[in-house]
Amino acid sequence: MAFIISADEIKKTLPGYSPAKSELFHRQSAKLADKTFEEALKSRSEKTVILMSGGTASGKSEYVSAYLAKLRLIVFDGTLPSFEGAKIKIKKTLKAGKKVEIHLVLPNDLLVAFIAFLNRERKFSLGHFYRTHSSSRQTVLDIAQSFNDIPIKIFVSDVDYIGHRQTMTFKELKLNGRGELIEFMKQNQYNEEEIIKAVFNL
Amino acid sequence: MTYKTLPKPAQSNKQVKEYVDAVRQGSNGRFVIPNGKGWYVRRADSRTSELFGTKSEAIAHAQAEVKEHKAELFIFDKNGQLTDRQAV
Repeated sequence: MAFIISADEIKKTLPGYSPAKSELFHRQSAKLADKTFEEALKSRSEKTVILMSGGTASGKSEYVSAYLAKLRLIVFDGTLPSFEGAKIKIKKTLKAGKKVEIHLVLPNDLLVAFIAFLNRERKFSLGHFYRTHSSSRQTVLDIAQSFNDIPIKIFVSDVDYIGHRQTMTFKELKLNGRGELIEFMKQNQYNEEEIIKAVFNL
Repeated sequence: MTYKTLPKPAQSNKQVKEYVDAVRQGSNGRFVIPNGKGWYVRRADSRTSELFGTKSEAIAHAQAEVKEHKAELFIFDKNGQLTDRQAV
């Protein structure tokens, strides 16, 4: 079983937490998640660490539960909002003698992720959606350009109709080498304003 | 660039189910969004919309639609921020 570290799960354990107040607890739970991660690097025997990246409600936790949860891994289930933060995690992981991979989840349609975000139980301001969908893409591009040896995998999430039933699907993007990956990430950079335009079709 | 489709997650997967339920529940909602030409009303999961001259006309139209479909109404400002959310 994977050892999964998630700020969203940690905040459920904090006194006074309710999904409606999720954003208020985020800073505290993110700090605790970082601390748990550092402890896990020292104490856990798993040899590989997966750093998740992607905007909020892109399907990261769903991807983790569907495909990684049963493997012997340490998984940090966050958005990777900054390159500086990602660099620290990568360097600490390598220093601990473990391998590190980045798994980025991109929604096939930002609108689907936006609808999930608006209607799920835990609530954040919309700024959090726009910010994380922009910043996570930038972080992964920066990692791709700065850490040539760190494997980066990109997955595309969607919600499809199969018969009358809706189901979640994932596809892995197969890119031909680092150069193509960097080019793909460059072409898929959006600032917050562009994320808003894509969601609302403005 | 090619894609490899991953096996579908199990229907019993709690997190996947919650995500799909949130999308299903929200797809029927209505968005009211301003644009340079007026105020648009559109079903949440649709890319097509109806244009109204004023915000109040758009909201009245959207309220009638969400009442019919037992859905929620989301009103946004021009910066994409949510200004009101109504379960009619």
